[in-house]
Amino acid sequence: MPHRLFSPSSFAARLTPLFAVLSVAVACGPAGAPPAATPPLQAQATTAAPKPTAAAAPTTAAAAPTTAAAAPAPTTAPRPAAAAGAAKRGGTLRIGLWQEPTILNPYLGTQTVTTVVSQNILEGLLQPMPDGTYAPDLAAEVPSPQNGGVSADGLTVTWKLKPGITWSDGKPFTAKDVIFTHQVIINQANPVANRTGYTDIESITAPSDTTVVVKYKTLYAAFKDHFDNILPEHVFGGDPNIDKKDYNRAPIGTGPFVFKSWASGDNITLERNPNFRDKDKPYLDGMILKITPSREAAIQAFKVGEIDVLWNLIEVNIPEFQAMPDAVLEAQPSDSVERLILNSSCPSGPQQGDPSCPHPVLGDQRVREAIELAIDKKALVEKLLFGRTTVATSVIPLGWYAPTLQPTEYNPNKAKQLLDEAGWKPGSDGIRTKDGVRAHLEYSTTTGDRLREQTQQVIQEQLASVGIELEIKNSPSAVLLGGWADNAPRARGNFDIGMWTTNAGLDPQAHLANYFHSNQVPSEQTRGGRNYHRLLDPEIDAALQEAGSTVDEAKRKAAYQRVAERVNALKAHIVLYNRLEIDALKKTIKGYTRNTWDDLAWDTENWWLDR
Amino acid sequence: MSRYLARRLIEAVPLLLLISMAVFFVLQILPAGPLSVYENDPSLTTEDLQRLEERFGLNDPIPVRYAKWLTTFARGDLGYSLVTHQPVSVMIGDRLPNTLYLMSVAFLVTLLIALPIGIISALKQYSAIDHLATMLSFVGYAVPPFWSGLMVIILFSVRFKEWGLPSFPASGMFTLGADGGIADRISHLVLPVSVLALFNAAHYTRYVRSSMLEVLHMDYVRTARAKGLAEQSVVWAHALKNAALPVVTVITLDLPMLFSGAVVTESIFAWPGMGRLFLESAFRFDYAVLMGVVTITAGLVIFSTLFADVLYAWLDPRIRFT
Repeated sequence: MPHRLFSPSSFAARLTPLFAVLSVAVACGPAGAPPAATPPLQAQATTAAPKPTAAAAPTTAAAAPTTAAAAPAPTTAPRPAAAAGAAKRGGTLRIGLWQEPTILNPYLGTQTVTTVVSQNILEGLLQPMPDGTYAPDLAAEVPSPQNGGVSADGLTVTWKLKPGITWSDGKPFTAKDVIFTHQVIINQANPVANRTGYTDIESITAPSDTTVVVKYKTLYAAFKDHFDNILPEHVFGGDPNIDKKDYNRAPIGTGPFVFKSWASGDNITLERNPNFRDKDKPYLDGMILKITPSREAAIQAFKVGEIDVLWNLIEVNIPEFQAMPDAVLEAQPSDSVERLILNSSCPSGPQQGDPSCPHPVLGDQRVREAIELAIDKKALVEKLLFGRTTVATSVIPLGWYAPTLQPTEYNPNKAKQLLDEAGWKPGSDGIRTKDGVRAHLEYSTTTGDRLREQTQQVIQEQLASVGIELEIKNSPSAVLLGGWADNAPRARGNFDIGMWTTNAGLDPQAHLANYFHSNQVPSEQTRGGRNYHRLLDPEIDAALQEAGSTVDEAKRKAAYQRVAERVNALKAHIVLYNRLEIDALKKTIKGYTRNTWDDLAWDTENWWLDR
Repeated sequence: MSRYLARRLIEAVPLLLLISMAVFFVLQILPAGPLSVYENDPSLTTEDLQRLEERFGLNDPIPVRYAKWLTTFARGDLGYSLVTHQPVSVMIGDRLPNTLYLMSVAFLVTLLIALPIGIISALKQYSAIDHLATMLSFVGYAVPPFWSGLMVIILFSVRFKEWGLPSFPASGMFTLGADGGIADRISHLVLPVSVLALFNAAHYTRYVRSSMLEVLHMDYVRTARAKGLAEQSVVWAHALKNAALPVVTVITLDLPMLFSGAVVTESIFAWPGMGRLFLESAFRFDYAVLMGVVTITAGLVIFSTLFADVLYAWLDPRIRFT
């Protein structure tokens, strides 16, 4: 009588993955994909967007909105010091992570949560600042043509390192470590996820202990992205094969904290680095990063005081936290934009995904325009996002390269007109048809995300009123946001409308090219291509080409503006709203500054507990 | 007996092989893989993805990959996780003690609740106590642990704290940053164990009760009472010994849970155990860990079934195996 195998208790245990999928998908969904990496961060101009919350964080001068100068002035501004009030020493901070990092070496792991931990330990040559400029971190100054750090042809970058810095184990930090980091990245044996630009390095030499000369084969405009985490050469004995080494789960760096222990599934403990180059800092004794299985569990732990800092909340959490007297909710616009991606190619058949075969409904630009006109984006922001964020106007909302574009209008009558013009006549049930084809589209986003589900319902209703029928068909994040190898619909082209979030990051070249260039339509040869909407536009291609071949920021900004305007004109992506970056901290925590261009832990050496 | 044992053990091998093969193929066919973690990173190029595919051996045909896994597994090597870059045995070894700790305490508490209540229910059938126990059993059956777990946290952790009452911790095995000793550990155990125990006790209570009822109506119990034996002796020495047989079988079949853990409870209470390891690995398509955990659990189930049969035969001399 093997009744046990199907008894209720074990059945329930097997049904729980359903629930678990829901809760984890809720946790991961809005962020785009469970281990979504923030692309290498670089920025120049400040955001013009206001900070919605009254933050307890001291605002430094850098956080006030300023527009960027055309040419980047190399800043030697130090990191913002702890502001108002004398910082008190001591205390251990507890940060809640609702995802466990798979690894702590940011070159091997692309999850954002990896950098939330590793930024306390590892440092890079430059540090992106909240106002959009770079500050030198381990480098002595930001290389530029003006100070001779960048050669006239833009191919050679000379880094000057700060003298006298030591690793947390006391050994000196020198140029050899930078060279070693490069060797690790390009070493074929290491499963390094992202080598963009490093493979373009022709040579890298160290004329002295504090000078590194990097020569690129072709101009790499985003060179300030490079070497954002330096690995210690002496720990590996110079061996660049770092796969499977213990270091990846117990890193040593120059940062304000030192790795102490990692209790698998439970917490990661860090301690103060006694050899940190600023003898006064960090103020905290240590930090514990508690791993909770879901955002909801982390929020409960925060409420009962087991956690002091919550990272990466979503918009629906806002009301809950506003009611808490001892917590501060930091909500700031990020460069992530939630958008609809429309497939302009055939979604099925032998020419599925082929840009030369137009989509029976979405292939006509007028239809795509009508869809955008029929969506009331302001209502989405006001009703579903509590008015806390802004309607999106372009795929590049923040940063030195961000153009100021106007939001589109909400005009369902104009949408109906356009559709009539395009030959789509309403049938007896109100849904339009043309040449026997029904205006019926599948609309997909990630499952388990209440905000997205609500958005879908609103948009479905709004489009139905102009005669377009949307069928909601959602999939788990891993399926929706998969790639060619996973037969993901977006990669293979068998989708109509997809909705998810992505962002361009500090330097938008890689992202924009990947998403909008004509040679990036996903295929067997171009598996990493992300031109899911499959529109081939020579204007966009030319603008991207121009932006990627110069270090002149003014020229690049103008080129990116052309890209954004073209994307909007073609309705390749219909941008909906800008995502917020939301963290919650207890009122006793002081000294932090929000930085949309970097992760939560970018300035933990300045944090202190007001006890 | 030894021939029976040998036959069962030999039969177990192809069964395990079949199970591991089925799981392996299903995992590979799923529309996502270990590279899914890299998919949403816009800075990854085509060459990067292809390079990673080669590196992780994902380009080999499925039977080849299975054969590779099988040969390493047969040597006792559970393999290497592509996601965390750690040996699978280390990952399991980190989590297993936590699960054993939680599940064994939950098991003990379950038995401590279920046995007395089941016996009393059976002895006093249709009395008020029996009806109360039956009602609670049905509630325990019906309320799923993922709901009761959350309710318990909200009440005993969050609300109690708001009302100023002593509250239980909402998650984890011990208080962060300060390992407070036995009292601290026990306070962290209370909520997850109560959720698990109440759910399982509901089932066991019914088994014990029905088994006892069956035995209490047997002729030999009537004879024992007629002989004038004390009621306690009748219950313990005669009835319970015989009623224990099916209950022991059921308990033995549940033993693999000590290894595989309770996925839901561990997730809700942030308990770093095997159940959560399995769940996380499933989401990350960490094939090595999934195969290791599933194969070991399947093996444990097969062996615990065998153990239950043997135990039954040992306890009941009437049973003969051919």
